[in-house]
Amino acid sequence: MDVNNKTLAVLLIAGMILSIAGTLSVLNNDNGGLTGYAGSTDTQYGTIDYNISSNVVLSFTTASVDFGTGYVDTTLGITNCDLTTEASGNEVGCAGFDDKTNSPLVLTNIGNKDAEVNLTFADAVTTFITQDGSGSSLQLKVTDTSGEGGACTGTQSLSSYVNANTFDSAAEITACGTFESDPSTNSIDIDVNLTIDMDESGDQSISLSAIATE
Amino acid sequence: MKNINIKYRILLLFILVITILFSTTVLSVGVKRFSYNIPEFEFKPGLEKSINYEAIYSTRNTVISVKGAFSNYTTLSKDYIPLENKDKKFTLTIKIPLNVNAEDFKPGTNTLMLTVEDDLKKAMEEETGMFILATAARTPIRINVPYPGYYAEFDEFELPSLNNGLDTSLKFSIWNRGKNDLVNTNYDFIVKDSAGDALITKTEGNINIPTQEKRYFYISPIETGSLNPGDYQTTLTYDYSDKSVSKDYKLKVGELNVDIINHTTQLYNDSIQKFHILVESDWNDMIRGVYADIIINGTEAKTTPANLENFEERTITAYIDTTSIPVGNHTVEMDLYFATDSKKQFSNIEIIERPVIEEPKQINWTIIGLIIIIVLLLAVMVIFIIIFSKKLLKNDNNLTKKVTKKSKGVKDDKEKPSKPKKS
Repeated sequence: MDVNNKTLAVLLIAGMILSIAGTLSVLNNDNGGLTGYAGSTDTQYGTIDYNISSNVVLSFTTASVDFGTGYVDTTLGITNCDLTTEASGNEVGCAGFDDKTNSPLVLTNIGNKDAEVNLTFADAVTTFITQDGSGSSLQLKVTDTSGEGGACTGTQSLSSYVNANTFDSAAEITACGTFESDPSTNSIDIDVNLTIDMDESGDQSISLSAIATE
Repeated sequence: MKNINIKYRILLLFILVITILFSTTVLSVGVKRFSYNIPEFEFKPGLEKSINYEAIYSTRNTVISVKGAFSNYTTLSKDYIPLENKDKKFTLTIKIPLNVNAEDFKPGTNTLMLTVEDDLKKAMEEETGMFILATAARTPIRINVPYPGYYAEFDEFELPSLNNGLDTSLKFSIWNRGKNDLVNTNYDFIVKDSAGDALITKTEGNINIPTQEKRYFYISPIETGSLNPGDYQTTLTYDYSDKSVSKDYKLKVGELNVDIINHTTQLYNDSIQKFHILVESDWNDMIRGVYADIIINGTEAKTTPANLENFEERTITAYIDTTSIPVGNHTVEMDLYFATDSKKQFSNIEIIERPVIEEPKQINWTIIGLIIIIVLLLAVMVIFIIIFSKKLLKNDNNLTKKVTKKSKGVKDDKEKPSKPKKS
């Protein structure tokens, strides 16, 4: 079918009129006009929810202290030997034992909440070492790990060495009133100072628990 | 194929050595509650609540227990979780019978404590060492038991500090923690000056709060716009029955000002030194870009700028070259700039010579020992690789010889004329 220019022009004008009329009709629609318009009556709301759990977690990241096997070297005229996890410690009067390679126990708060930390020995310390006044003793001290200043705040009953028999047999001692959970300051060192009298004997072990309370 | 095999073995050996060198024992256990805030309930006969938990980061078998005043009325869906169990979730259910009374318990907040801990008994049987370490985590649940008679407490309290010329508001809540309803009670809120005289007073009467319920109050505005900048003591008092409870709180009215509280008073004369200035904002909003210029004996320095939060104390630091300043006492001039204002302050500083300290040389035997161990282990590894490679090379040569021999045999066979088949 042949379509001349005149017919084409008429069709073009008709199409333009229809398009303009349709646009005006939509814009003047009383029910909101343009499709997709976010009117006050048809607003849809979405919600984003999240829930932070409470995690209370303690971790011994350095979990071993073993001074090895030895004896009190009485040939020097000394009746006991001092073993310590502190770098400044030495082995006065000790033979065979080794405390030079020992580092403190390191306790870390890997939860997301600050916590109180208590320490306790499960059994009487006298089952481990006599502590009968003859010179033997087991002492603990808690300090912030180097570079983690402020990890332990509030009550700090172990800021200097304390005899372990004051918190044995399920009696607890507060090492940190508040143990921070901030990853940059969440580690403490537990140093051990063990004095062994020449009367001590045998292969001894004792259980130390660290308890975090929310 | 042969090369891949050697590389694979070397890699495995390397991983083994590294693992031996750096492996450490970690002991841990923890408890996860699926809501952040500590659960807290009002005592009621027939109260029934369940709380979900999970034992996390456990490195041993886990023991779960509950202790406290209401522990007789709790049940645990699990009280022991072996380490190999993948599902470590458990539920604590509190069910208070209908026939118990508040008088049977301690009035106030009673705390139930859920404990998640290592099975220490098993650990002590199985493990050796001087110290058997264990970890435990405790998380509380609070149950509030009403006090006999009348008993009220403030709970929330919010009195925002402000800048001068503005009014503030007070939000607080009163919690009836007694067994009796609080009827026809009233509160007073007073803002006092430094002499203790009342400047602003707000009161409300005829307040009724049923037992074990909390009521919220909002007083706005509190007309503090006329108060001069400074600190004011406020007291909120709630009178009920023949008792009262009160709360004191310091209200700060701010002004756009920053004060120098303290500064460095002694510097060495041999280098670029840090000069600290402790400043305090009196403004109840952030002041941006607070800095100071300092001059000591003609030598100038400028601190890095700092943004001070509401009423914040903060140290700003300048780096000053003291090499041209003579030893002795000098005047330090500090020009402090904040917002569109500034202030000048003069103070004293002492320039001193650095004492010579001879530090004893210390040998770190631990590090030297570790380096020796690592070098020895690496040497052993290299020797092992050489021996292993030679052995493989020998096997390879043998195999090559065999293959050559075999292929030669095949070639010979091919070259030999085939025998005619017997018919």
